[in-house]
Amino acid sequence: MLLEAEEDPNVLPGTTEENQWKNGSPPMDDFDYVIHSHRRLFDFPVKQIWESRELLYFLVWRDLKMRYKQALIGAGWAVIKPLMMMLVFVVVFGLFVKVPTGDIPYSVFVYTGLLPWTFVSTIISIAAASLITNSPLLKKIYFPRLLIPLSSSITSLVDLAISLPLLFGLMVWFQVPFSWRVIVVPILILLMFLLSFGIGLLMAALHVKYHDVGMLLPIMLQVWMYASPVIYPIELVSERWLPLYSLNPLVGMFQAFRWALLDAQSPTPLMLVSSIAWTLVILASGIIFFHFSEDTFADVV
Amino acid sequence: MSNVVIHANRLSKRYEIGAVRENTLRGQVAAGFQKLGRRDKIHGESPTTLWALKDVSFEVEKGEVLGIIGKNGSGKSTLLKILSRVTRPTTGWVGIKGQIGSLLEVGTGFNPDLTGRENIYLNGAILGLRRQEIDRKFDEIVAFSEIEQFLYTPVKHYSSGMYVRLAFSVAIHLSADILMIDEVLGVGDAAFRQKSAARIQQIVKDEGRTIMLVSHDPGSIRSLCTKCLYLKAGALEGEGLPDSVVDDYLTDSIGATPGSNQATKVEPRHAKI
Repeated sequence: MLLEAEEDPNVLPGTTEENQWKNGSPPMDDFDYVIHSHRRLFDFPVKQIWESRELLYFLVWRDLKMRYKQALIGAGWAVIKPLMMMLVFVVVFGLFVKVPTGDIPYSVFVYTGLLPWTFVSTIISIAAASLITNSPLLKKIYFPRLLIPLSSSITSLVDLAISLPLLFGLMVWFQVPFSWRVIVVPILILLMFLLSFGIGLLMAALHVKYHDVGMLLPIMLQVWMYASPVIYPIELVSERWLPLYSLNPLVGMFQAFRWALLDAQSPTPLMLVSSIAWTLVILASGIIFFHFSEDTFADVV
Repeated sequence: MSNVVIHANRLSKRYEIGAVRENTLRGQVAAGFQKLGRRDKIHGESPTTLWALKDVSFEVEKGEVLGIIGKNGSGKSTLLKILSRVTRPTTGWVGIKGQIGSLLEVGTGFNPDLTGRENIYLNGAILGLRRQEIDRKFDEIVAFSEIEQFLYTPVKHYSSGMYVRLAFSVAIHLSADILMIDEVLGVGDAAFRQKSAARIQQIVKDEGRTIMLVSHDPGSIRSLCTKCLYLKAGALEGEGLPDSVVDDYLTDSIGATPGSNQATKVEPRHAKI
């Protein structure tokens, strides 16, 4: 074992473990901070992230500006994309397949699914690619890396300022009555944001290391959309599969969204528990995984 | 401890050169199998690791201008990357007193579609300036860069000279205690270069801040620095007064007589820009 260490490619020839630390551990008191070869276990950069909030603001501002500056209709794209999707689904599932949606017109019904789905999937895909698109920054300047996926996720939040009023407009147009339940919508949006931000963090950290993520993610999102109540009501899911189906965290959130706006069947307790539990678990593991991968981003990106 | 603001202790940095192929799942799986297969003869394999920095130690005191000289690939930029916390050392540690502001490449974080004004704010924030500080220094930055009339033009329409002048101006107005500058003194025309050098003198002499300067250019090291490190293939080859270290570097790399004008001409000036 000792002999092997001599030739170990992980150790610089001529320096052995013991003389690397000959000068003892660094005198922490003399310096404001010490850069070590490895991250200390619990130094989450909470303070630094808070101190960089202005940078976060500027990154969001830049992303928004870039997103809408070059495009001819600017913010209009946030309306056009879900509307076009809605139109396609209305024709295919509303007119041809005739998915039963009770008293609610299929167009309103499908839009209350497409809006949260577009929100979730946009955050995930933009956050997942964010480290790659910002790699020149990562390689040159230090700041808490979490700001990059965070700023791109917040940018997607702004799309809601356009797509939500459109939804309310549709509801007025089709004379769908509003109820007090609309007050849970902000809570649902927060839950969706946290869940997709957590997934985005995991994907972003993986994407830097494995470029396959860029190929795999759109496929997985496609599958996930059909496994969630976006274009069909949960009543279509058979009794037998419902418990398994309810484990999908989006089922509870999306169903609650429809319950709040369209008086749809309320989500079961299992669905809600699964939504909240998944969100907490994924968000926590996303932050931890990102934290531990952060150091090598500049080297491998 | 006294005036030491940077204490680097036995820094080494290893890069895996073979890592590119392993960037995909397939590559990683394949590499894993390969490793399994040649487990017994692993030491016979040619190394795929590169030590960009080998056991480098030094100290910088407050108010010094430390020059770092060396050929391409000698580890200069890796050293600055470690000091600015972009990457971690493989072994060793660095203690730092005060805030570090780094200018590793002109125009990092500039967005071509944004205007000059917008880029000053964005780049300032990226480099660690507070919004209020940028507000306060805005006129100064603009005046220094000499691009007043193009402030509202997207920087993609700038000439490359204007672009680097603006970027350099933002960076040189950082308020950090320690400034790290990599190969940017060759920015702009002769007049602008002189202005930059004067500004650096001002930062050190009047404001008592510390500067680390990486350059290929023996001239700027000689005229600006108070101390110099010479890096060769990742190791610290010389350390001391700029004139003698630069002479060593010149004799060593091109075999020219120290101080001869020809020697400086042969050097690829500011190759990174």
